Amino acid sequence: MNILKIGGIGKTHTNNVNSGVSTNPFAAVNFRGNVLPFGDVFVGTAKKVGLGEKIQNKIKMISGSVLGNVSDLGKRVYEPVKSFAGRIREDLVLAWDKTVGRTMEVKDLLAEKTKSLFKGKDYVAENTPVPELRKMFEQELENMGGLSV
Amino acid sequence: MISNRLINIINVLEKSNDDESVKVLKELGTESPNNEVREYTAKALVNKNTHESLEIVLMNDGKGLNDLSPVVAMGTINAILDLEDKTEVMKILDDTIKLNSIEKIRENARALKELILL
Repeated sequence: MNILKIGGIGKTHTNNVNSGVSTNPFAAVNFRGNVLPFGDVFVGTAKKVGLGEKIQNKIKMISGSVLGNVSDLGKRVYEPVKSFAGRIREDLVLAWDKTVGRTMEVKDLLAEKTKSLFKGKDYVAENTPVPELRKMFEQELENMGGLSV
Repeated sequence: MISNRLINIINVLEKSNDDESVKVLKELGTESPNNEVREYTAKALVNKNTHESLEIVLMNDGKGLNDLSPVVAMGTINAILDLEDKTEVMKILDDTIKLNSIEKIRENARALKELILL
């Protein structure tokens, strides 16, 4: 049975499709097995990774490794700092000892000089070496007249 | 008369920790014909209070305790009595009393020991 022959409604419909004067923007789109000319209009279920996102991922990966390295670096930096501080402390202690030692030497020297100033020519320094004391002893015995009693 | 300089030299030798100082005091001081030099030297050897230095003044004839000069001998006795630690002196005196071959030295050591124990 032909519908077109029965009533005008079907005829009217056919005219609308074929005339090309419809205001519907999707009227030209053919859904019946043809390739759609506006393929990018639809978003697929499988998410496509764009270049920007790839770069972002790369940046994340790099920053992650950088963070890891930085945390390692902290440990690596800490040890040299610790040893450096230790070395500085040792150097300071050494310098302090040297300074104190030098101060003591100067003090002793001054004390000896002061004593010799007050005691005059008869003064004999306590740190005089024994061989030198022997010579001085012999010299004094000689000055006394050698065998005089 | 002994000079102040020589007294100072003997005092420095007394305080010296060098073993050579005992040798110098023995060779030059105790052998000196001067009584004062021997007296100061004997006192210095006593004050050193070592085995070697005490042996010189306690065990040798004509030195320290056994010196012919009573001044030197008395000076040595006084120096020994003034020592705080007489352990080494007592040890040497005991050895001298037992072992020394000279009667006079043994008698002097015995008398000094009695004096210390008083």
